[in-house]
Amino acid sequence: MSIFKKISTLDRKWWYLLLIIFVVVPLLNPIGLPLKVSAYTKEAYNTVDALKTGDVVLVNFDVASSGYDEVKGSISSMIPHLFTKPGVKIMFMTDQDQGYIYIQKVIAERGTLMAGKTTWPWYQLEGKQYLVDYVNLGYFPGADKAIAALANDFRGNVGNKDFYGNNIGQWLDDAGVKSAKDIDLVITIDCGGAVSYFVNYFYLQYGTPIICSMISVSAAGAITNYSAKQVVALVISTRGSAEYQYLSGYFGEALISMDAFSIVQVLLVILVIITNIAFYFSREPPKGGKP
Amino acid sequence: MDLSFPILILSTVTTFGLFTILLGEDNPWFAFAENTYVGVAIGLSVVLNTSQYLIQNVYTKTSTNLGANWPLVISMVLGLLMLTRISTKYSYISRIPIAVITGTGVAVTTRAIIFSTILQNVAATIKPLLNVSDPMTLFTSIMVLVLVLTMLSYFFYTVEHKGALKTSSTIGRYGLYAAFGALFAITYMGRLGLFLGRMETLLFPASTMYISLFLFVLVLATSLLLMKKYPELRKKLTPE
Amino acid sequence: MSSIIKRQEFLLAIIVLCSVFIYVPYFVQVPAQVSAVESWLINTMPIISATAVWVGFYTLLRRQAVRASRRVRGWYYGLMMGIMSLVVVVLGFTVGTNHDAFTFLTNSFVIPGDATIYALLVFFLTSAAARTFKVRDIESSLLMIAAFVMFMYQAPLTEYYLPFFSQPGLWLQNNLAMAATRVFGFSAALGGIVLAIRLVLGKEMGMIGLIRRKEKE
Repeated sequence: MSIFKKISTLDRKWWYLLLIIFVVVPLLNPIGLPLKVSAYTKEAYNTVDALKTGDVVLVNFDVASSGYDEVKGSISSMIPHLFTKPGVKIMFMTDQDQGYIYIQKVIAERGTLMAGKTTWPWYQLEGKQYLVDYVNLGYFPGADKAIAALANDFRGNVGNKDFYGNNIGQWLDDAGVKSAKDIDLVITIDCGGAVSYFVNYFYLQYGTPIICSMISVSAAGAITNYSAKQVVALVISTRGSAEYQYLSGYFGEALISMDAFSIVQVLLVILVIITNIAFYFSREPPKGGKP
Repeated sequence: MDLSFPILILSTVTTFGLFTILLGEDNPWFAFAENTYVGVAIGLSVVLNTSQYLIQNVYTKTSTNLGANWPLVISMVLGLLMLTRISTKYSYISRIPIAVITGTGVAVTTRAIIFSTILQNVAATIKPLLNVSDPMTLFTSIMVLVLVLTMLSYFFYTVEHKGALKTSSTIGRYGLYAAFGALFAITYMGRLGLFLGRMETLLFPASTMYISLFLFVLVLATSLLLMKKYPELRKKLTPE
Repeated sequence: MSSIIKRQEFLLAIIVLCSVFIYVPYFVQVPAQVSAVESWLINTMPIISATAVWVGFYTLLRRQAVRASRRVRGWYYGLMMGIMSLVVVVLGFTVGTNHDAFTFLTNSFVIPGDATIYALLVFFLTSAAARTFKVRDIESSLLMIAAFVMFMYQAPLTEYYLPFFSQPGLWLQNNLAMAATRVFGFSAALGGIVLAIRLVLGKEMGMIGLIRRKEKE
């Protein structure tokens, strides 16, 4: 059997093994390959940077563990960056049942416990303290119905209690949040398509600007929203997360993975070229004609 | 009590157990990982939906101020009617809440879709042609309009594709193929990012890496042994 | 009463009523009471969704119990699934979701499981690419070329050292892929509107479980 026939009929498990090797080696021995920052991520960074005192930001963690690894880089850089903006009030929410785990994770990883406190939710991050500068509104099941309900009657659906049972009625009054109209920016960390719900119910009704950090599968749809000016900025998948980490200075896993990210995609291109060559040379010539 | 070590072991076993599907055959590691994952995930969903929303939101509101929140009682009754789905004799009652949620849900989705998906996208396709800043932008905008129209024409299944429509649908088909290639690459990027994230969790810090390596060898060796040397035992230990 | 509830017309009336109370306030100025009904309907949806999860939970337990009683091959895995889900539910309602025991189970099984299932796709996509991206005809060539250009653009290494792929890659992402997504969006939106109309006209009663069964001969 010719080498080309062997390559074209090679058991796919060998390709899997090659993929694992080309992922593990660069992760353990980073090379430090260069990274260009895209315009989308720059805009996201600039939008967060331009927040001023008194602005209210709603951060939606539409994050499940199925997509967390793609957006964890942007979570671990965008959230601390947001927390550095003085006088900005932040409300976390989630429309995924696992979302609260990741809200707690990012704050615990980058923050510290407040003085005299020993457990959730009393963490401070970049000087912002729980129930002073930020709150966790909790889980709102129902996907688009939940977002529609919030846009329709924000205070009515949020209630007066946060995710941990603390009274937040006064906090919301002090932040000037009477309705969804009072939210100055929505940041949605998106593993499930929540950006389209926020576009439908927040942007279309109140003109609220939206930043979306999403998984790659949602990228094409989000770019459509972006080009229609429904979304002000995008942070696309692992690459966007690495760019945001680079811009904000909160370096982490996404940046480390960029070497392996590059190498595997180049490997795939080489693989496709090899299989095409093998396919061409291993083809049976048509009977009675030119090959 | 520090549970980080048992969590590390179990999460790594779950990860490698699920990875064994790449070997091509079902095996006990995969069955264990799959069933534990599904069981815990369903339990988590039940707990979070009930405690964080039904109890903390609905129950708390109605118990503190029933006068202002009495409609939520009707909502709760509708929700409870959903549970009649379990009974063979009374399952027809569950059609009432299903009808409410279907009617409301479809209406909520479609009323916004008209503006966000159709009108805004039509506007976004045509507007760049009206606000031209340079020839390259004009060319790109025209290309996008042509692509959208030709791709849409490809989906006209009720009319025979001949003449101008055939040309249009052929261009649209080529455009779709090229778009699928681009979308494949974008999807690959995302899945690669997920895989890289998973590997980072298994490889960092160094202590985790050694544990991961040991469990990887254990899971792989036993799976290959069962596949090659003891196929009957493997079949016996895997679910139907 | 049950004969009324079982009738298609009764359920259709509920669907039409709910749809009217959602559509009308969105397009027309209405009295506050009508808006209140709209709000109530929107708030009711998540409540019904939250209770429906219990139906799924019960169905899971019952199915695994039946498999265990029949000693189907691998029945113990199903039993383990059922027991794990019950343990999580009991822990969630007794000690709470922030307790160590609860987070132990979610961090050990759900989080790695979810992440791994989607991460596995990269392997299948790799072997699919190796098999599918072959230059056989115009369509497959276009598929391959577009994917090739996007890979060269996406990878930071090639984007930096082979910058001539940046513009075509960006064009493909921002224009071609976006055009295709718009087309899919239009089609799905039109399909959704048609579905909504058919639902209101009573032609999609299968959505609420009313399926006409052919009588056995």
